[in-house]
Amino acid sequence: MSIAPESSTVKNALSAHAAVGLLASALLYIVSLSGTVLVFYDELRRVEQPGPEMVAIEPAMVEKAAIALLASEKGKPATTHLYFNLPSEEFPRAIGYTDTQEVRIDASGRLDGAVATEWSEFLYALHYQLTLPGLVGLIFVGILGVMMLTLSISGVIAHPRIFRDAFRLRARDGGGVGLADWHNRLSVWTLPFIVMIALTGAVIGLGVLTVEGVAKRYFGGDTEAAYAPVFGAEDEPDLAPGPMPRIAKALEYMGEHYPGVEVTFLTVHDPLTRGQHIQLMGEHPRRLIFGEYYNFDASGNFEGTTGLSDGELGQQAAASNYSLHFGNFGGIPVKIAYFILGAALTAICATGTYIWLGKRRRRGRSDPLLHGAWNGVVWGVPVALLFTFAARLALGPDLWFSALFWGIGALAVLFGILRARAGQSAKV
Amino acid sequence: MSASTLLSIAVVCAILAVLVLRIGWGRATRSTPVNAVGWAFFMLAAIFGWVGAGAWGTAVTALWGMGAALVALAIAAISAAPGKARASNRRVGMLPEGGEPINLGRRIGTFLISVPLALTVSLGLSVVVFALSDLGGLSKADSIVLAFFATPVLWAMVAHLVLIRQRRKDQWLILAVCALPVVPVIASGMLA
Repeated sequence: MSIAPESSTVKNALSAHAAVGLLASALLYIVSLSGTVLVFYDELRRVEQPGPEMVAIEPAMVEKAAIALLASEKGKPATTHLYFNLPSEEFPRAIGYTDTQEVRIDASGRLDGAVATEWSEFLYALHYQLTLPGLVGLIFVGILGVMMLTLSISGVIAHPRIFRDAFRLRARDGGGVGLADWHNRLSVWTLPFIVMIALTGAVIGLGVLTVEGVAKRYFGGDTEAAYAPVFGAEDEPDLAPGPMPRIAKALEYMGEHYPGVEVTFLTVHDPLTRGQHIQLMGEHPRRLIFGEYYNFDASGNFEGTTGLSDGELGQQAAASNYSLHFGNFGGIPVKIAYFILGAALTAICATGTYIWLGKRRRRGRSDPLLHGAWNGVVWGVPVALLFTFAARLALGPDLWFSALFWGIGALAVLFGILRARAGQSAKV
Repeated sequence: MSASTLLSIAVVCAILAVLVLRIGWGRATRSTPVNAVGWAFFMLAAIFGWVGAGAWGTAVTALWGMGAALVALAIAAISAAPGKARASNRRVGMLPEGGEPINLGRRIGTFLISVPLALTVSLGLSVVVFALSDLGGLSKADSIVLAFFATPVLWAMVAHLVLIRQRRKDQWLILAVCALPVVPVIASGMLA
């Protein structure tokens, strides 16, 4: 008995593979490439805006910064949250956030001007949402994640010898063999990475739809109640005025009771109200979870953890989804590995369309304009990214990076088509 | 044994797995024992990685395995001799050829069935996954997270099953069968 699929199954799987791949080829390529670069998000932010750096900050200095930051909010609508990115070896900077501003903080707790990392935020939005607004973009990129999963399934079924030939790389064969081998070999050896990236990305993107469905049927439409068993619930707000929260006390408690946990993020919910409370996010070494939430009342008294590190399996899995997707669970070595694997995935996206175009050409159906357009995508997207980054460094943060990126991308496609047309005319 | 030692063993196993499979798949004829040893090393790598440092250890070990395979591929690329093998030109039917009709309506129909409709069915199925897990005694957190992961996995499977069918009737049938478990969940919600 053979476990090899029948030839009709293989043929149909190949058609499905091509249909999905070609339908979303350019978008998959953009998401893959931007994700590959985004692995170094923290490092890019540091390059984009040099500034005060430190690997640790005194708790009293964080509280001092919080007082200054809240004072700077006078005259604005009350901020619903106060956030602090606390310095670590991975990202040695302190940043304070409110609903309306992002401010750098120096080691002595002084506010040190606005954060100006607009290019990095553009890159983040490009990968996360294809620069589309809010949830629409997030869901759209989640759909691309599912397409990548479908491509993985159909790709394996469409190539019955894919494992048998896993080391057969005829890189110097012309006529499309080399290109197909690169596509198939990179695909098979990065398959665990691709499936993981696609699945975790799709979960992030489509989670809002899933929770909407579950909440509608089982939580009376309350999506926050559906999320609560996983990430914890927010208390009912009590907006009567309250004192300054005891941030330093909470941070000192962590130092004394959890010395092995690195606190990287601090949130004050409903600051300066009677219902305010403090939440610290602590990173655990050698764990995939993005962190554990340590909850404190406004007086800095420890109330307990949410359970992302040691609670239900589902909580731990959900908390691991993000680090697994973004590759920030093992410092620079893991980031480099993700960059290489991401580059391989980007190459797989690029070569897939070239393989399809090559097959058509060999059957006598040449599409020079389509080929030119695809050249424009493959070369134009990295050029557009590099150009926008160079523009950021040369001209500052106040540029429309999205418009610039899509504009250059469109021009590159147009250039590719015109170049192909000129080539056609020259042949005639 | 310390966690670091276990992790080191896991990494060695992952690299050995690639090496053994490289040897096994490079032979003129298949060798089941060699292949089995290769896959066994992968299994051992995953186990040692997990015992050493849980999911983190397995993830790091997997990266080493993939890295070793990419090195083997790079060697294959560098040492490849020029050849004249003929590449496949199998047709996949994405565009019409030789005056064939474009069949735009059929293509749009396939898109609608495999994207929005299959997504709707998958979302319904993920609610079913939540309901069954909850009924089965799993915690709310476990049930919700299972539903999170179920949506993309089920959609990918439904879309694949739909796309490999040639006849429209078969595509509708697959969608209908997949949607069946959703009916009692919706119906019980309406009755509640």
